Amino acid sequence: MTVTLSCEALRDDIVALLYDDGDAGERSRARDHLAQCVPCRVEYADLKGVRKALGGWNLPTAAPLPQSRPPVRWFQTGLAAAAGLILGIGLALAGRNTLSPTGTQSAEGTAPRTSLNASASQFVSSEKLQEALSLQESRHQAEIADLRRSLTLVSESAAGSSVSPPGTQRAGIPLSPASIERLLKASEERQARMIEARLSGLRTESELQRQYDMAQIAAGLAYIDSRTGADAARTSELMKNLVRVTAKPQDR
Amino acid sequence: MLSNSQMSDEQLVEAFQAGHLAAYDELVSRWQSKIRGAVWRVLGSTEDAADITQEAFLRAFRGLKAFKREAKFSSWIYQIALNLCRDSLRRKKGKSYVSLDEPEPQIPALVSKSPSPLELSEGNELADRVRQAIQKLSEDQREVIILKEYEGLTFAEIAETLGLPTSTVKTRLYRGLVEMKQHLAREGVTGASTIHDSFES
Repeated sequence: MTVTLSCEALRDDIVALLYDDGDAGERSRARDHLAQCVPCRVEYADLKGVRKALGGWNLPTAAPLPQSRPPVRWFQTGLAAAAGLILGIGLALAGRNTLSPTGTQSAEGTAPRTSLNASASQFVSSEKLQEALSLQESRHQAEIADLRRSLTLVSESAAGSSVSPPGTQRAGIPLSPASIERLLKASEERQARMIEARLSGLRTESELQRQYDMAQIAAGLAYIDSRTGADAARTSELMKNLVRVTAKPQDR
Repeated sequence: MLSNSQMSDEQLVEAFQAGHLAAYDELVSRWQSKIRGAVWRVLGSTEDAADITQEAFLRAFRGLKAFKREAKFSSWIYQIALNLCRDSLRRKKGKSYVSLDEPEPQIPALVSKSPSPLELSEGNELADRVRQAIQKLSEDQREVIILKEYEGLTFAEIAETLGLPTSTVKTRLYRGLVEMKQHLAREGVTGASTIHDSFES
């Protein structure tokens, strides 16, 4: 019984047939070859026997593998809680900021906050919070731009017709300098609150990252400590054994 | 919206990368026991298997944000665990010793349904011989055989996990099985198949 070169070349195909995996063409080639090659047929049967024996090595149940707790659950819970807290602060500030000076709220301002409130019960990341804040900021920028446009129009029309006395209204906008001053001041206050909220979020995020890094370092040190302890115990045991076997028979 | 348990591995990885850290819990519970089983078979030590599995999932957690979803999560986590096994075996080779007190660890009862005492004894004996024969294989062959026989990975998945061409995977499998046959024969375990077995069965 000799194994020819063509048998060597077909070994991958025979493995494919043995495991019923890979390309169908490979398995077909292997079948054709085994039908006419006795040595390969013998080997194929042997390998099937090996696979059967391998099936006898199961995982132990009498001494179950230690069920280690997923290593990150505590961290996830803590981070989720912290992120929820950041979101809560952000939403509270955002809720105050999005109210217009007259107490009304634009329709376009409602949608993002509603969606944020809906997702607040779920886990929300700091990225989402940042996204919500930047959305709000762009809305405020748009409001300021509208206000500026309106003021420009008013000042142009005021310059055009000197008959319009101060305090008269055009298109529902108060024209008195005091009102304009008040609106600008309110806008500045909103911006200041926005910036403060963002800074606060960043501070909390940075603190969380610091705590996470500390926990990682502590876990690493604990792991090294445990390994070192185990190694020391094994060394000690080895030394005892060494002393025992090297001791003179009468000393034992 | 799908719950975590209904999501595929790829969806869970995507969710994690989008900031839903809880998705990682599902990945851990889905793969933990399989990874631990594979590690246990590669190392032959229950205690080390628990340590290495935990370490593998910690490393995966750290690296998952940057994980490119071109590869499967399962292949990636197997890869991390096998790398840790190789490191562990390398360290042990450097300071291997034989304990004079402790006997060779025995494989306890098997998973199969309530075997009789005789079957249990025979099963233990066979399992022990198979375990010893597998430990005699080279690391390369042992990994491929474990991933194929016990983890049920396809050739393509093994190739992805080990970063090898599928042809190399098949060659290692073939050589590993041939070596196993020789080791088992020396241990007195003979194959159940004979020349009369139909290769198509």
